[in-house]
Amino acid sequence: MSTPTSARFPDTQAAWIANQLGEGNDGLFRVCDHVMAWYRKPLVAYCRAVGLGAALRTEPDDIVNGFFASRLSEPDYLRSWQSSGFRLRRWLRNGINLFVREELRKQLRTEHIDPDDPEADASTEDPEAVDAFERAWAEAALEGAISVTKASLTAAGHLEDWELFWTVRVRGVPYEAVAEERRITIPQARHKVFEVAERLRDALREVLLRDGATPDQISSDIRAMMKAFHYGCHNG
Amino acid sequence: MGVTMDEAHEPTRGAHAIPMLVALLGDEVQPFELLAARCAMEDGADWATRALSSVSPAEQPREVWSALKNRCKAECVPARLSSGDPDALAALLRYCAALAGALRDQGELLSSTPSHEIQRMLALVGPFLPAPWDEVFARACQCASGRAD
Repeated sequence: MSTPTSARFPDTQAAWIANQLGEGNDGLFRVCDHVMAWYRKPLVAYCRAVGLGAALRTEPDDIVNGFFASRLSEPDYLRSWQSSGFRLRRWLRNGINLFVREELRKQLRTEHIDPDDPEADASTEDPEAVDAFERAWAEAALEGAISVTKASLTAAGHLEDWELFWTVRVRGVPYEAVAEERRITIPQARHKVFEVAERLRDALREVLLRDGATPDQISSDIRAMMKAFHYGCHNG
Repeated sequence: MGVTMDEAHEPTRGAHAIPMLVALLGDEVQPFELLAARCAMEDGADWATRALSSVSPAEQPREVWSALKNRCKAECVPARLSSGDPDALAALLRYCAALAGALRDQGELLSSTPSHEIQRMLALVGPFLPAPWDEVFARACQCASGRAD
């Protein structure tokens, strides 16, 4: 039987960004790559839902690109996140609101605002836009965790076990049927499904820890993702 | 029995994501989460229809919902629920239907469980149910959200 998740997967991911930022430009580039890979889609979804592009007469993708170019080149921006207490995705969502306001003010040439104030727009967020953001974040997190899981299964020569997990846990086909098809015993089938679930949980846990979750928040974060996916059920 | 092209390209569709996420909760999973996962599966609507075939979604007196709730509660054996036993999950679904019916029809919560937890349960399961039960659960959620515990 597998070792407990907490023993197999130390909590180093929670300090990953801090560690990378301590490694100079190479570390900064790795952090930037991580942020852009995992948070682009949710931020684009948020910009689209709020209509942030309308006032600037530009596309949400361009807003996000501009935001990344403006903020991620500065190591202190992400260091500030670490002392904020916010999840990284919340920090970035606040940040893009502020970035758009800055760009609008540049366009209109009006009064200056503090670009480092994380609370400036927290009280004015559209709940539906936040729901759209959280749904896009949950999708990105789960898709990424699935990719990592499949890669690890492939490396171990067990990619076919992903299909077994999907067939049993997502499609609901009974263990008896899949065991007979694969010519394995039911306990063997259960063990394979358990192992895939453990790999997927480890991969998702890494994503959540890097977003700022603590180890005891993983289950509640998974439940929050379940709630976020219901937003998609109601809204097409 | 393999993965279809649609499934291969839609792993994060709600109906696929919910069972996947429930699978990741491990020993911490709650019975109603297993129920939501069951209802979200590709045959979930048909399964729920069969499970609820003995229950009328029409307006009922309090006594009817209360009697249904008590019968189903006796069938919801914790060990069987934890293992995902289909009959136990079906009884849990009928139990939820009784709570939803009483909330919709009488505005009454037939459970000592706090209303916000009942609301969460109904909100998680309801969207995957066939009509008219999805609407029954949705209206019950609204009633539950308006209650003070």
